Amino acid sequence: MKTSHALSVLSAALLLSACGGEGDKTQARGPDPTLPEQQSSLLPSMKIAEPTPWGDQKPTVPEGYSVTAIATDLAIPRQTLVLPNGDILIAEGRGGSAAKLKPKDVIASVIKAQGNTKVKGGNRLTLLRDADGDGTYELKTVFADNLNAPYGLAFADGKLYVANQDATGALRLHRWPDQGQRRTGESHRPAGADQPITGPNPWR
Amino acid sequence: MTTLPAYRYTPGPLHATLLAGTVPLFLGALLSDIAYTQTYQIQWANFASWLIAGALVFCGLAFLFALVNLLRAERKAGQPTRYVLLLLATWVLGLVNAFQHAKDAYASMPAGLIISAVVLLLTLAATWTGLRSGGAK
Repeated sequence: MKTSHALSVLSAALLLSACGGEGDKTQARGPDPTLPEQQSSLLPSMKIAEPTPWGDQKPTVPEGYSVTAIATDLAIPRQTLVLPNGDILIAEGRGGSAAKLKPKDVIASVIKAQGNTKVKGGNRLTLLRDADGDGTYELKTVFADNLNAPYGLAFADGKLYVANQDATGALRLHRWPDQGQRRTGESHRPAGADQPITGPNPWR
Repeated sequence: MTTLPAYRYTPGPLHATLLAGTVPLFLGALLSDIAYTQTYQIQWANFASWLIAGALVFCGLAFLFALVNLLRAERKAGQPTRYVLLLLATWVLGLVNAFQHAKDAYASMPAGLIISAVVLLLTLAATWTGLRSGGAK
């Protein structure tokens, strides 16, 4: 008798707390989140967003500020790294080349491509330099190419670490850019994506 | 194209090959589904998906042959119609099966296994009916 009473009190409390959750159906949060019903269908309902170029649009900035592009016509920029001397490295490329394991993957890749840019991925790093510090990056040059969809960038101990989509390697900087010369020497060019990871520095 | 008496219609070699080819493909899909439910190795689900896709190509082409033959047949009632309808049912349910198998991982089960079994029975019935209509009346 006592247990059943306790149970009814508990269920009443649960009911009340459920009522309390009614107020906010848009957010699933708290200890008793309101989750949407599970959905399952043979043909998933989905909407592919249409890619729209920036055109003349610019982000809104506070008064007294202005926005200008420091570089255009990049080939799918995905990641940037500001180097210690102020140069900006931009990793360009398009991920992908995942194995098509099912017929669905073949069809899905076509559908998903509609929501993506038609630009060909650069598979390279572009370096931007503002030598005189006036805010205009007058130098735009290819820093390294023949990469495989580079994304992650890190600089440590005079080496630039680049994560390709299938390997990570390091570019040893022959001469550091702030000495007035960017990395030179063919022997230090990255060999490309097919280079296996054989050691801490496969691209040396 | 030789004109045969309606009740002695025989599928041509290409038609028969396409028709009979659906059987091992749908059978392979069913066996892959069984292996998937037993082992949970996702590669079996990939195998089943491709086998179903191949079976749908064979079945669809065989259906086109059968439909043209039916439209040209002088006597449509009975076996010719039953054969075409069975083949259509096989293809439609096979397509449903393909969508079911397109779901991620084990979400395709156990419904995918059940549909695969039904589709195999349908394709056996269709093939039997289609190839039998040649010799028997």
